[in-house]
Amino acid sequence: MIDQGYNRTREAMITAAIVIGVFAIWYLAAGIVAAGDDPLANAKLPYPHVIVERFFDDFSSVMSAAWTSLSTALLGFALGTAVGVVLSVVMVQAAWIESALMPYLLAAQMVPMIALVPISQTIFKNDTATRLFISAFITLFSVTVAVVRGLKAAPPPARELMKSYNAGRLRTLRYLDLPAAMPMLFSGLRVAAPLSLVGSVLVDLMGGSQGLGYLMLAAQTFGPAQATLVWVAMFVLLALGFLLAQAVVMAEKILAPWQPAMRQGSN
Amino acid sequence: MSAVVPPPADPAAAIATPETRPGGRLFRLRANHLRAVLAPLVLFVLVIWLWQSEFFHNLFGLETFAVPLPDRILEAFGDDSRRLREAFGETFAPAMIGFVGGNLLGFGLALCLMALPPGLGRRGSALGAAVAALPIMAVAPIVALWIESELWFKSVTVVIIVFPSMLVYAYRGMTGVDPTALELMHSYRASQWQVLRELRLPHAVPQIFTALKYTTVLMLVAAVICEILRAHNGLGYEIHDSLVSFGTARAWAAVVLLGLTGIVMYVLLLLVERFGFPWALRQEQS
Repeated sequence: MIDQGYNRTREAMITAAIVIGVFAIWYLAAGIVAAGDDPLANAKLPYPHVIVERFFDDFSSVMSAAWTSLSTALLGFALGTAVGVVLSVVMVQAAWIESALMPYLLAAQMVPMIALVPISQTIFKNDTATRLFISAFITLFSVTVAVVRGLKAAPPPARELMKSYNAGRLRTLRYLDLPAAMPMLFSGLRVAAPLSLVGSVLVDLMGGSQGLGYLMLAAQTFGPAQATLVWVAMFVLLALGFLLAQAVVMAEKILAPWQPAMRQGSN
Repeated sequence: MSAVVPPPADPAAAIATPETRPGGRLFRLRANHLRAVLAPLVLFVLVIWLWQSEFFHNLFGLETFAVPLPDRILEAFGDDSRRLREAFGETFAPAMIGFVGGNLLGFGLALCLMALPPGLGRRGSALGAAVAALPIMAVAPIVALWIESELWFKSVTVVIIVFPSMLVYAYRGMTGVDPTALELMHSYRASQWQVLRELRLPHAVPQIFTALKYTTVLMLVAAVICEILRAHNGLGYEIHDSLVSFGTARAWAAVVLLGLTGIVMYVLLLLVERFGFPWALRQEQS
């Protein structure tokens, strides 16, 4: 036990040393950039504390932009997940539906979906609707593919058991297949969460007038004095992505706590 | 939430199911294959037909200038083929430079991490995973501040997006070898280089392909985002420009072209993996 505690302290110290090292290199590099006579120096690589200062100076506008991006992304994410789960349940009911749709769902993952942003903007003519649609659309594919796989993951003996209980389709779905699909659902959600955020932000970049993407664009067009804002927006976006991913992991722990990997506490 | 705890897998139960009778299975397989080809085809034809006959347009109240009909999109491929080909080159070249460069960089860094003591290597790989979490949206504007040239702006962004995935996967593949195999190599007095070549690299092949397949999509996404953000050429810009100038059919053609590129790249990689490294696939399945 003592040995373990010692190891943990050591691990934490090494990690801290690496973090400090990264900051030291950053300050050094920022110093070098600032020393050159580049008028864009403080935009290209600002000192970390300048970014933090900027964040607090523009706190309210940054936060409202972050909220615009996050809330629509979350809504689209939820919508895409709901449609995806329903669609995958329908797909596993009949083999011909599944084989008709599956190739397209798989192909959709190889296609750069963000190219649809400008097109859906001309269709919806509404930023919020476009944001919602893109987030939901991106989420839909990864969730559906994962859940279809998960719905078939239950071991055959368990299915036999359900049959011997004379359980109908609905009951088998409720008590066997849906719980068995939970791990796959969450692995699909983990992939989709950051993507839905990116989708939402991209809409801001393409002529939206709100959100983090707009903040980045505004910072770029309004000259070097505003350019630190690009960095602020980047870190906020990074934090949001991280929080969203953590939220999915937390939700999994609450909703599907029976998985062996979690009981061992390895993830 | 309650769950039926699945009983331990019982091979005898699986054998007893009727599907595994030899004759029945063969027939099933053929029917499956037929369905796998026919069903998507029928769906495709049906959707295109309904689209062409303006069924969707009437259903959702869409205008044909907002969502062009399929034959108009096909026409746009013919009419604007030169323009689309140019735009494709302007997108594909930096995407490929970034893809190759990023994957080489990621693999090189993974090799460097292998040379470090395991504790440091593990943290290096964790740092790589942190970089991989950087959204493209956040990277591109900052690269745009640094690099003026269109080609290199896109290429460098793609490199930054691509390399961490390769780093993380290649490192995981090379370190995830069976400890007993490692011990065996040591008992043969194998040098570090031999261990790398004979054991670690072959073991990492499936993971490397996973990273390659994953980054093919990323490279196109990154290139298109760059073009939407700043560049004044390429397919991403073409989509935007066509929409502004009421050339929706051309915009859709550009989107179709992008999608096809992604699919073709992915399938090519799949074929390379299947025929170049068949043993790696078997290893992955087992």
